[in-house]
Amino acid sequence: MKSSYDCVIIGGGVSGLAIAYELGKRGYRDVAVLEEAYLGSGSTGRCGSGIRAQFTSADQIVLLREAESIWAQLSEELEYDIHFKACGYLFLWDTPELVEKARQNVAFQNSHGVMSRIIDRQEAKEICPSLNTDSFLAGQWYDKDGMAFPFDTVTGYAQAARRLGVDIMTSTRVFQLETTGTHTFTVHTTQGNIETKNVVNAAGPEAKSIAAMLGVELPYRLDKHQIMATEPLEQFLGPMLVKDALYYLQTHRGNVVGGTDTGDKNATNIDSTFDFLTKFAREATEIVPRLAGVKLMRQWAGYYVMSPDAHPVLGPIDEIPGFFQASGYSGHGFMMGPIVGRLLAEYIADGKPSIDIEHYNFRRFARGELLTEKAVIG
Amino acid sequence: MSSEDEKTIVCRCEDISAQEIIDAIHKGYTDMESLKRYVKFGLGPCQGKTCILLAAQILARETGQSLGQIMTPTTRPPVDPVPLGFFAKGKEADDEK
Repeated sequence: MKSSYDCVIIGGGVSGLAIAYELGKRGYRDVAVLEEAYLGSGSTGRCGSGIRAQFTSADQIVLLREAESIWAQLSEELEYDIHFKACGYLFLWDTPELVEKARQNVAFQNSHGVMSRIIDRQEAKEICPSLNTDSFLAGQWYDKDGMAFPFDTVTGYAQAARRLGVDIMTSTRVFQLETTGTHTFTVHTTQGNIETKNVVNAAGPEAKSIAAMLGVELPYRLDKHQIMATEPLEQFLGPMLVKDALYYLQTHRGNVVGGTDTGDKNATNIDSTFDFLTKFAREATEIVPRLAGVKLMRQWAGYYVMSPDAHPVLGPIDEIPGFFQASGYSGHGFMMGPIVGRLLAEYIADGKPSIDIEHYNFRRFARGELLTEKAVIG
Repeated sequence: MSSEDEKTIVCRCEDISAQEIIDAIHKGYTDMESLKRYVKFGLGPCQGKTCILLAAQILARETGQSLGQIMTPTTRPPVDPVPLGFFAKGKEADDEK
């Protein structure tokens, strides 16, 4: 670690590492990533590994559509297998009202280039032969949605960023931030102080406290979301299945991984509970009965960093030039990582991202210009 | 450990050899949390009951630390794998009360 950098990124999850890599790719290499524990130890490493563009807001549909085109070639680009697979997302709707709403969402997604569609029970059964077709009326399907392996993604980005000359420091906690003028920051860490022109706050559940060090109040709430993995099985499932708050997929390693909502808003811990298991098991076996015989191997939990409108905060803070935010993903940080990395790097290196992300700016809260997203799962 | 060679299996669930773990340590994965997630031992049905300690011993030896200096990863519930159907039935039984 040096005593000065052009850019210091706080947070060694997929966001921070993707930003670091994309900066390096643009020749902007005087960059440090500071991670308080180990890479991927926050929300990235705890996530459900799904990647989808089937959202309900134009901003997020466009962002994830572009993210999916990066994901599809990311293993080649990083020269590391991140195990992306376009397994598709299959939403199951079980009332006529939900099916009608889904039709409207599909039309909206189609108008933004995400070619999702409504499918009948028979086609859903062809896509996922294990489905209990009595448990839903229709499906909503998009074959470009998929999954990737979170820790491999972290490793791929970290190794590629290091090859480009980025410094990545683990077990390095930031405890104080100061700014003495435009693009002039002092970052106080447990490994010493760093002077820098730019600071990126990609600290996941800690983003709120990092921003508070410079007097910026990010309006986040932490919700606990639990998740489990079964023993590894032969590939049988096919797509990511979603029904209400329930979601699960089968990873390339064969484990079924997924979760459901337990209503733990404003959480202060990420302990696992037995109630989660009974709720998940009941919901999961209703749509795929054969899962009843599959052994649950491990459960854990993590935080959704919820912003008031379920959209992340991306881009600069107007009042503090050089202080960038990449957090508040509301459960979608892993899937957004590659596109956030690219756009934030363009913002920092060139002053202008290739996709307009001004709607995502922190200033929307002060102006009352909130966005709307209904499709938060889990 | 003296008879350990490149074919020695440390994690039987995931079929991971001692050599793979040593190679990862030399690549810079020198703490148990990162090492486990990079190599992916300890994630199989036995929940790491055999391999975590063996891997910790290798890490201690390769990095010149004592076993006590090496933090072992969080143990996740359940202790042994349990069929999902058991949990689903448990809920129904509760509802009938």
